Amino acid sequence: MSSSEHNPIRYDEEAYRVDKKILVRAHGVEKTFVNGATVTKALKGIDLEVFRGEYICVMGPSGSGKSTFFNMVGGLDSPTAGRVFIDEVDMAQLNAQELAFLRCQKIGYVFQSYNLNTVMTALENVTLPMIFAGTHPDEARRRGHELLEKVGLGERWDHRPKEMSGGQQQRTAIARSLANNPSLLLCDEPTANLDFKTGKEVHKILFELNKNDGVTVICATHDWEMLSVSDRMIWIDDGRIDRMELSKNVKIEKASLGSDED
Amino acid sequence: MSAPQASIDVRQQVRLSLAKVVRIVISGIRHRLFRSTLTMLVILLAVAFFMSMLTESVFVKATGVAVQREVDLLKQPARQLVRLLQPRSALVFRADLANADAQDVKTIATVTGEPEEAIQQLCDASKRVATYLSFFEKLDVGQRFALIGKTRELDIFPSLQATEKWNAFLTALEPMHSVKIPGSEDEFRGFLDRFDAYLTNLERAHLAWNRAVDGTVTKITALTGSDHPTWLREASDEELGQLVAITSAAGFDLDLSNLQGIRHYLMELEIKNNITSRLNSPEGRKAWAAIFRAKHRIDQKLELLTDPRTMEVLTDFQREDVLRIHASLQHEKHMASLSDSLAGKTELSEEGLLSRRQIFLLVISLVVCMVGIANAMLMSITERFREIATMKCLGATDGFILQQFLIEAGIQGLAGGVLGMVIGLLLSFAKNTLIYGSFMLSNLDFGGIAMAGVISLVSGVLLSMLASLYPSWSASRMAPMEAMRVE
Repeated sequence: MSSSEHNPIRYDEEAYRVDKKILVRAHGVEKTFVNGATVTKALKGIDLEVFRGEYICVMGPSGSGKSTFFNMVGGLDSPTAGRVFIDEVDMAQLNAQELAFLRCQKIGYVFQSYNLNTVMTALENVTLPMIFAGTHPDEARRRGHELLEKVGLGERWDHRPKEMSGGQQQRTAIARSLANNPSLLLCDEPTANLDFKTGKEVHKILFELNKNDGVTVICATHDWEMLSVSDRMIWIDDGRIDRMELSKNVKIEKASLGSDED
Repeated sequence: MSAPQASIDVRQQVRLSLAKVVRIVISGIRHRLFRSTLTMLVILLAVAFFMSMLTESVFVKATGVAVQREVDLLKQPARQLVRLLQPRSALVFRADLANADAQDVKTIATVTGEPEEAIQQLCDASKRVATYLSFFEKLDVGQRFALIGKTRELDIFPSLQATEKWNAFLTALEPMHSVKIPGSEDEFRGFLDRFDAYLTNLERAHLAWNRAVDGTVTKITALTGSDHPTWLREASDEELGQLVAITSAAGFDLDLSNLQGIRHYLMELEIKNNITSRLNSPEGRKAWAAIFRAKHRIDQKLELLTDPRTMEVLTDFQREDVLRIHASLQHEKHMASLSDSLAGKTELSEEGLLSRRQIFLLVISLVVCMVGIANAMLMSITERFREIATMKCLGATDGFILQQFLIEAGIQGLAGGVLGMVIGLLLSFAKNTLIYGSFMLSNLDFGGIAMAGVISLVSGVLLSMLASLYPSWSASRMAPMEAMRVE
């Protein structure tokens, strides 16, 4: 294992994994980009287990390989070496069509820039993945309304992205990502384009989804607010996992930095 | 510890119905109306160009056929008159045989007293003679000389009958790869073998024809005391009836109405000649100059026949006569100019709907249009890379993306095609109506126009889809992780 010389885990791993089921398992994931004569090693061997119902924050400076790792987990790109399993399915074994199906059924994506279809209404955006999953239109519409209700946009179902604020757009995007009841929600800096207050609303929604509905969330972020909602934090640096900690421990650290009395 | 792939089963994946994809595409087009309109415009231009070319060809062809019919009709009385009263030269008779239709074959057979079958064979052989002669005439001087020496016209064929001449002909023909005898060598050889018989038959028929004409003329002279055709002008219906009897006895298929037509033609000709000579006489010129204060040429004078003052010069003519002659002259002139302007075109489009030059132009314009569409589609795809990648993240397959863009191209092609078809039709209709006027309007070939419409519409749709094939394919291959990219 690549972590032989450096163990990033800063908590009692055995105790933490008791009674937990594995959803995502990355095993020695490496990724090398070759561009002419330049060879870039974006990932240099990552091992990670994500448990069902967990909320994980991934942090790291740009160029750390964080996005590349995200693409691997989301089935958007295939690793040069190593394997990624979702629900014990090896993604390297899937062909393009099966991958499309997996993305449709198992993974919900929330993007930094929302990526809503600008010509469609909120409801149409939310029901789009259901079209690909073959949901009956009536059922899709019912569920679309339900999901929009859940993110607090029940009234605005027929608004187009242009007529909504950034926060509302991102909430629509979250509703869309939940369309096919995914096991995993991948959020790529969901609050980077939002101001503090709306960012907080988005955090709240993700937190509630995680705690009430048991949705597994992996979230890349620079936003320290995320700490309050996540279970575990992972720092990626230079293509490796640099540090892995339970969020409650990080919080104490931060608090102790802030005021000595606490 | 690789686990069984239990939870992924592609068979559960649904195929989107075409109607659903079309609905998604249409909503996309509605909201990107500007770009779609631009792309559509490119297709519209190409299809309009295509359509106007096709329909122009259809218009010109239909008009050409009608004009030819009309011109033939105008010439008919004069031709019948000549046929009736003047012996044919051998050359003209051979040309008559080569151009004969079924009706003509019947007439020639009765006039010459030969069986119809023999005349039919003679006609076929004459057609061959015309074909072979035109083949030899098209050769350049060197080729001609090498093949047949200095012989010309019908002498070519007897000269080739001798075996050594024939062999020399074949040897000379060998290296001329671009020169091909019409039909095959064997056919030509067979024709040469039968040529003497043909000549004999031709001569017999020719003589018989001219004898029949001579006989008719003699009888008519006996009837009227004059062999000049002008007597027909003053002939009564009764006399015409007798004439029918004479001509039909000789085998000509004329009836009373034919002869009345000839009589009318001669009467009109007489008036026309009188008017012309009256205007050209010294008194006529003087009077004309006094009224119009200008020295008009005679053909211009004929155009001024409708002017009321003209009657002051033509005092001894009926005004109605003058006007009628003027109208018929105008019509003749119009027909002549129409058939002049059509002559080159009908010849060009004889092979197919379009001439080679037109096809060249068309291919160039279609290629330019395809490049334009491909470019527009590529731009539209580059612009929408995030949308495409997001769709793929949401579970869209490569096939769906490909379908989506091809259908979009098809819809744009259809819309542009329909509009282009209508515009192209209107343009070529307007243009050709200006040139050929009412004569074209009364001779429209609706089947041809409909076919041109279908061809250009289908080619518009195919063109658009073909041009979008590569852009759509590259869109379908776009990596879903592009969706993560932030500008």
